[in-house]
Amino acid sequence: MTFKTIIALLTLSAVAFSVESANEKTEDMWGDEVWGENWQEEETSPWSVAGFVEVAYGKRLQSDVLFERPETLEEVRGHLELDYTATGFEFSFAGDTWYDGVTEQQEYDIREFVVDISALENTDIKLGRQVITWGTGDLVFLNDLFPKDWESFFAGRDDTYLKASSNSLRVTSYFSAINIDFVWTPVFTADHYIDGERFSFFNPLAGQQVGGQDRVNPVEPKETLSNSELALRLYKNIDGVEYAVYGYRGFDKQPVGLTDDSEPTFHRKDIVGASIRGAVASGLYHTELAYHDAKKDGNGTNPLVSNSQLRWLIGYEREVATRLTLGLQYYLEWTQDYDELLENSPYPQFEVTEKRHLVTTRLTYRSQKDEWIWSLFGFYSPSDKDSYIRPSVSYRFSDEWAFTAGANIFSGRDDHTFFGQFKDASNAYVRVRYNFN
Amino acid sequence: MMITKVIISITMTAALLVGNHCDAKDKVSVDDLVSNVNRASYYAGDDGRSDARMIVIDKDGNKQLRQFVILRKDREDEGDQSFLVVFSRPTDVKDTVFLVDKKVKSDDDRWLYLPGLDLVKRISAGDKRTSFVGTDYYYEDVSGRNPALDSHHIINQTEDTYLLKSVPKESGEVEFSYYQSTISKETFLPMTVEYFNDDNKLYRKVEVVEVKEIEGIPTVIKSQVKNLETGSTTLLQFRKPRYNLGIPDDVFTTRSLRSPPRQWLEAK
Repeated sequence: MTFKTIIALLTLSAVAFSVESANEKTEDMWGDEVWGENWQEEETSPWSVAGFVEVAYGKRLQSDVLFERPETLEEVRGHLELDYTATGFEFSFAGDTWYDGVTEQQEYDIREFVVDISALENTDIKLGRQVITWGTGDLVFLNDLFPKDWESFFAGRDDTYLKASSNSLRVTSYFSAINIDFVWTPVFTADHYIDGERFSFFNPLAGQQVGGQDRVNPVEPKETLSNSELALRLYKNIDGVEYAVYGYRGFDKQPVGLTDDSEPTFHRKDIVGASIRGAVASGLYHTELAYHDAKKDGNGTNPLVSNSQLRWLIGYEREVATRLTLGLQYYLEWTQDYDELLENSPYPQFEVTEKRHLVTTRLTYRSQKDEWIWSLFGFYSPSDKDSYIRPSVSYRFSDEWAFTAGANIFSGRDDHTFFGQFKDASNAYVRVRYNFN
Repeated sequence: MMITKVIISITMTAALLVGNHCDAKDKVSVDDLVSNVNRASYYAGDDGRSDARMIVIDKDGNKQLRQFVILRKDREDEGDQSFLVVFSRPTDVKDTVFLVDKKVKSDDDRWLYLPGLDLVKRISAGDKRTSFVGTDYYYEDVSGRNPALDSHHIINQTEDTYLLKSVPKESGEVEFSYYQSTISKETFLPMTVEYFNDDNKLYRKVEVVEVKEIEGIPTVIKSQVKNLETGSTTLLQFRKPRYNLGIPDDVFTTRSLRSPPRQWLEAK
């Protein structure tokens, strides 16, 4: 069965469903049958189950010589969530399995396998596989070094899949003076970065795009206790203004460094940062600062290690018209010891600019009851002269059926810049989801 | 014997209630009325919890379900208060949590927790009159509209009801040009609220369908909202409402977004 057939079938069944429902009359609106089940007698089971089945298809809007097939997304996915709630603790499982037509493999991913203990007065403990997020940026991350799945994001999977999970211990303690959030990830967990499997990328060593048969095969940090990742957040909400201070001890989340044998690897990195988020003039502002300290290259002279960076973000979001929200962000990546970087670089022409400026816009329009959501997210870098535009529209037909279409459009003047290197990855996609519980 | 006792007790409660409001009944000032309505609608008891579910029925008869638990705590009567809403259905909003710090003198602070991303999202104060999780109710219907945003006039009254007209002070911020509430003189609950657009046309109607006395407090158990422009209706039903539970302040902090307070979410 081809993908077109599957989508056609799903569409047909959705139409059939709609006709059937339309024939029902709502004469006695408050009758029990309207509600579908008897709520009064519904038993309170400690178990809850939910999930969805999704079909997704996406293809390149141009060709990439490194890939024979144009498809960038071709999958049938099942997602299952299972929760067990008891006094003092909760167990959650969330997992995905999908047949991936691009890699031609059956894939599995456990997103959550976690015990949440909140029996202690002022402390919540989460132990196991989990998704963790913090920081104030909208699709821009300064202090959030928890794993991300850029391949899913670029391929047009649901936004949820941008965040990948890690096997971690998270301890959050609440005190009157300050809240403390601590995450220990014993084994370093990298991002699911663009490694050439689905999209090609620019390799400055080769001076050209790499991908298809040729993939990144980095040297991972050794699995020792001293190589575990630590992340700390101290935060406090004072009269609606959220203040936070962050620390991270770990590694680059993508193999942007090189070993002495010129193999890609993840180098040690420490981060300190802070953020503020609050409300002003019917809108919300946020600002965040982070210093990424390249531990292996304190003075910026080592060409195998990415230099330290100062990162700063400021943003504002508000409803500009009924149900139309506009978000704007300015983001700066300031590479330190820039002269030393250029002097020692084997490929200075491909190095990042000293100050990479990035502007993002988010425009979201929701229909009256949120059935339709039109979204346009854009990244534009005036310094790199490149951009990444993410238009999408989703239609929530019912509690069960949801349809999404969108695109990921990259462009840029140069081949080596952050977004410019993905020019041949631009794609459009559709997704059809059936939710159940 | 038993029945007589119950009847006596109900009569006494009713007499007490009437007694309380008796003097004000005919020459109530607008400010007092608005204040009573606000208290009856959103400030019953010092805190409260209830199971709730909604059915959204569109003009073609298609139905959607929302199910959640709502917790509330007042900082001050008719003053600041907090709400926590924890969703259990449908699948795509399950475990989503909504927290509001409602402030009378400034914009509310509002957060939404999206469990799939582990994201604590802040929601801007401007979009209060947008759909509450895809229903015909607005966020503002759930946490209450600040009475100070409108100017109010009693335009009519019957033996049992007042008719109150409310006009927004800043018309640009809302979709209605005015609304009219039919208020029960006995309970001060607005039994119907009708919203009119710039052409004086009724386009939205919120109605109380059933009121029950819970712990001596007249409580809306069923209500519905009709959007006359789209033909869509949302039914709202509460179950096991309780008041004055002594819910601690820290239940209404962002901690509850990631770790919902199970002991307060379960019906007692």
